[in-house]
Amino acid sequence: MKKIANYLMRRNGLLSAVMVMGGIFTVLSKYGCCFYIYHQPHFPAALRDTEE
Amino acid sequence: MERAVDKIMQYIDEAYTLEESDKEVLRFGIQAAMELTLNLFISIFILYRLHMMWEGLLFFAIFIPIRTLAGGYHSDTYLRCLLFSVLTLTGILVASNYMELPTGLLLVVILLLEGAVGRIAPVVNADRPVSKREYGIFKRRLKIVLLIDGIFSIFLWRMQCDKAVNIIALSLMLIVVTLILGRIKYKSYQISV
Repeated sequence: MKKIANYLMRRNGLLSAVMVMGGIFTVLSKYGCCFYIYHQPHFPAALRDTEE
Repeated sequence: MERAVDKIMQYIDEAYTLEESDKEVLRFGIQAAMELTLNLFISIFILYRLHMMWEGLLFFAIFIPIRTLAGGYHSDTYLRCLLFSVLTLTGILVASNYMELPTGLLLVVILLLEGAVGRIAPVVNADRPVSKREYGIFKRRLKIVLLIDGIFSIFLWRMQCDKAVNIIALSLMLIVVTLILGRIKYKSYQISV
């Protein structure tokens, strides 16, 4: 299992896909007060709205 | 989940050169994507096993937009979140089979619950700080969603779709409960506009 994960994660295509997916969810996170599930990962400081 | 994200970030770090702030943003996005996707797959599996696919989709159509804009209770770990999600989804779907209140009365309950959501929400949590500007935007959007849900509920009541009205009422009850729990848990984070 570890070997398979290692092999997959060494593929740049898969890593790029994971990064794109992460980017999409980051953008989506700006459209709501939180995620609908009962866990909210810590919102990065760089994404915080500073306008009052 | 956090350990899995750490591992993925390790691979990304080896393959790409990223600044610390970019890494933080990416880490957040990947964690969110993994958590939401896993929840979604487990939910679909439950709906499939219960043979309640359309009922589940109706629950999500009501629950997701309101919950996203209204906020509320969040558990401290993802595992607890997953457990809470599974229990509430299953509980609501099973309860909708046994609820036998008159739909006219349920419609009144739905409208009252919508009013309660509109008054209490948005409930901000510690991990997702919200500015006053964002708070106002979420509140406005939430009112539009509540209006659409209200009209939809009246339509379903007129069409005598009893089970669908049951599910909407139960979904809103769950949202109100999570809002109250969130208010208690994140008392010091709330914004007054």
